[in-house]
Amino acid sequence: MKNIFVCFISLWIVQAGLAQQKTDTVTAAKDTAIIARHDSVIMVAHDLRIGLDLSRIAMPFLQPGRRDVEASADMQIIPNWYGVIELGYHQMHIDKTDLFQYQSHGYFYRIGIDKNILPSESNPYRHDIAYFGFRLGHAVLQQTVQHYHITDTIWGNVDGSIPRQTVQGLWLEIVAGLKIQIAKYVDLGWSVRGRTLLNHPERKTNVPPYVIPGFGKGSNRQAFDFNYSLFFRIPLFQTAYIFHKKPSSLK
Amino acid sequence: MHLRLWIMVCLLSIIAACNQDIHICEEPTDVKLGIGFYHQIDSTQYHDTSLSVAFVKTLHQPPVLLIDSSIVQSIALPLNQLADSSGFIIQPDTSNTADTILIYYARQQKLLSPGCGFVTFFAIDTMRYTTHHIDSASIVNKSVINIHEEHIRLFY
Repeated sequence: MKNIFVCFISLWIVQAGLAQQKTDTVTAAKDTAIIARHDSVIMVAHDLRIGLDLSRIAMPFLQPGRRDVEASADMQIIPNWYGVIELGYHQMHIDKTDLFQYQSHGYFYRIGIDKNILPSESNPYRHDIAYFGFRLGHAVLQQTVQHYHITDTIWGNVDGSIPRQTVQGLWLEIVAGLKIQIAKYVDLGWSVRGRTLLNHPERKTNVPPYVIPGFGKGSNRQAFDFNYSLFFRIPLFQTAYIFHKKPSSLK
Repeated sequence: MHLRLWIMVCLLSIIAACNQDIHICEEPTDVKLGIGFYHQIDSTQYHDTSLSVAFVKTLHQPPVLLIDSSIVQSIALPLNQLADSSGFIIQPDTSNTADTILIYYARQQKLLSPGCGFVTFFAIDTMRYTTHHIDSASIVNKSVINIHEEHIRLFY
């Protein structure tokens, strides 16, 4: 697979080079003021970067009864463009003895791309990136109300339960952040995210989800989030990319 | 030093904000049937009117007194959350006879918010009533989800 990929890239580079020669010849014939290009070849590392969101460890302290786990994987596909997959699990338990007992658990995934905005020439031996990107997120949540109580002094109190329901969430998000190399194969990074819900999960149920996994509060259409992650890089392979520099004119 | 202090304050504020909605109920939880009293002038014209009410009671046994001796333009009555119908007895203080109204509906318990818990929403189906004092009645809003809206108009 790797050989095929390298072969394809080599063919592309050769073809690009031939096309460039042809273009340069034509350009030179037409306008002698434009000189030849100085293309450069760089090696792009296609490392698999696997991350664990450390900020989720604090969640049970921020919201008792809540547990979240989130992991991510990204890889540079073409220079400065990264494909990203993020996966996670969420669990929530609310026990308000006089009102209701609620339990939910679910998973989510996000897929998207990141664009590195750090100049690649700044330090070619490091893997630092400053990026912005987009994600499409999808979550599936199962929730149960074991017991609810409504006080009614006129007609009588109401007690009941609601069996397991499945709720789905779909959202778009924008993300910006940093990933900084702290050891040979270890990076540390943070990101801020803004999300907007695309569907209306609260309309399909009489129990609006308290938290949509991977999105945030189910009562809001927009959500903001912060991630602080530790990444481990696994070097897989490198490919050569040719960078075309703009032709310079003679003064 | 100041920056660290600000970061700590911000984090504590976030922690406090995260738990607020579970512990505090900030929404009105009353869900009641709104009844307005009207006077029919002709087949097309009417205006709202005040009714001198001797009492309004629930129909079930033992009856519960809901409104006692007052002059009102509208009343808000609690519907039975344990059954698909509710009955009320409305007696004007100008007479010894009372009218009975029966409301038939579908119920659904809904989680209003984690802080407030569950409430029952109603979807009115039909209504029946006696005509000792009531000329006619109409359902103007079938969805009973709060206390602010008028759902039934009684014409006297």
